[in-house]
Amino acid sequence: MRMLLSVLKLGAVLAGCKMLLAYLDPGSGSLIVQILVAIIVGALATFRLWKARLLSLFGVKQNTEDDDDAGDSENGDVDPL
Amino acid sequence: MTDAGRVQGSFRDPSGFVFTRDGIVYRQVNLSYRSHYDQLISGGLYAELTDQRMLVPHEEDDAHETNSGDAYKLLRPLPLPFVSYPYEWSFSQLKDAALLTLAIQKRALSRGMILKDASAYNIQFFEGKPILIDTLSFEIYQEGKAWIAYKQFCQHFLAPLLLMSHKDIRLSQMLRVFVDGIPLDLASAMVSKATYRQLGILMHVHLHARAQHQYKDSSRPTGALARQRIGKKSLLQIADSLRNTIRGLRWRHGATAWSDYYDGDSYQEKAFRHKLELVAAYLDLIKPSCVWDLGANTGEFSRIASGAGAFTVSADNDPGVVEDNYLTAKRDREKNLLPLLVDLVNPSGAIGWANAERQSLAERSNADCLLALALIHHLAISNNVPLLMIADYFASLAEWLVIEFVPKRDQQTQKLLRSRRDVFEDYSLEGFEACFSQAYEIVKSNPLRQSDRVLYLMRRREDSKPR
Repeated sequence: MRMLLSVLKLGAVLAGCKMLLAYLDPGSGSLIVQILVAIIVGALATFRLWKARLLSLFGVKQNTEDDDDAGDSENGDVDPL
Repeated sequence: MTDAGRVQGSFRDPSGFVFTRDGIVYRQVNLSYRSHYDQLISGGLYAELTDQRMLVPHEEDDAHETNSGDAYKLLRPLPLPFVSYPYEWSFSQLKDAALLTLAIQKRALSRGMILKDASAYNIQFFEGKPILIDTLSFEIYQEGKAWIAYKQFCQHFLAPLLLMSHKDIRLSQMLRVFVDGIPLDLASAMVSKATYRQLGILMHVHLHARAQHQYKDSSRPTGALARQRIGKKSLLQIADSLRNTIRGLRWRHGATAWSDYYDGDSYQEKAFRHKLELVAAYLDLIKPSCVWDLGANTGEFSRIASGAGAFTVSADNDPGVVEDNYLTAKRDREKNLLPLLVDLVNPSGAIGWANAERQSLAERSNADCLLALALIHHLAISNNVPLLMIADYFASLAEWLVIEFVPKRDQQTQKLLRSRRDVFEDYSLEGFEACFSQAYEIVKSNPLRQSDRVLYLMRRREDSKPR
């Protein structure tokens, strides 16, 4: 875990762009984790995309889900808001 | 603008603040927020979100009325019937509030803006649905900039939902102690290691907590860390990841003490029907605009009040019945019923900075009428609260009171006395009437059919001043 975070930190040093100035303290650790999450979810999304393309070559269609369903908890059998 | 009318929970964000004047709530937009506010309006995000009832709509008033050199705009938001807090919400209420916040984040990003805070206190329930009330939560999105409010979102929403779902539903009450959300290291330590196998929880809670720990020392070099670059696509994917993680959190409760109250033998059917009729008749007599049903269970009697047009807070101390109540209200699209988790023996206190940031339950009282049905024996006998003190507290909350007296010989009271010494000599019909008559005039009283219970309609005495 420590090594992973160190690698990310190095990545952050090499990246570099906008200064973050906000009235909330975003937290250094939270910023680092956001980069990690961005890499992981980005990689997963790319994987899913290629998987879907590959499957579509064989005529298999996959359901894609991209709604934001504001406030639909799905904790009960209820309609989306 | 003096500090006199300033809402105490509105001081952290320099973009503006909330104040009340002549009973009307206003939000001042400061000049420093001008470009962001203009983008919110001209970019179409305000119209989109208010059309969908995701953001509270407002009227613009004359900013000169504020007498403030900082004022850019003066907003008059649509008034809310009641302000509730996350520790008063059921599991699905908090979950819906979280999902709404993420949906707003995605819509903001698609219109060139981003949420600069993600506080659970910025969400309220209006007409049965969560709604964002902080119009100044947005800022213009700068390409490459990370989501400043990510940590706050995880602490305010994800951590409590995780603990409620994976550990114990009652842990929502930790939000009463941690006003800026539950620390992620604490949440991480409290749940089982099995949650490491769920990618969303692993990333947003466990890894997040570790990273916070590693970089908590401000003397560590952070200059480079403060210049991260995360694209908009990544921010959308992070929002989706959080959404999927939160959607995956569920809570299913078993039978609680009250969830099967009406199915057991606690009530004779006729007495129950009679009570429904009497409550409806009493409410019809006084026509309240706002009712608080205390000890509401799943809200059977609350719905008499809300059905008659009164905005009704349906409060109970059992997380299971509040959850059921909310899901029913949501399914039936009930607009003027708000289920809330309230422990009357320890109601929400004033918390936060100077004990004034979040108001106590009593400070938020706007009820004309209280319903206290099948409740008195729990307060007086289970919790040893003297009848006089109960009457005094109720009288401080509302002018009218519909209350049911449950005598000692009632089987429910007998259950409470079964394992303890009866030290309640004053707990009798006569004692009850004598105590409550000090704060109230008894307007009506009716014995319930096939029951020893009595239902009362009472009105607070003129000389019994509210606190």
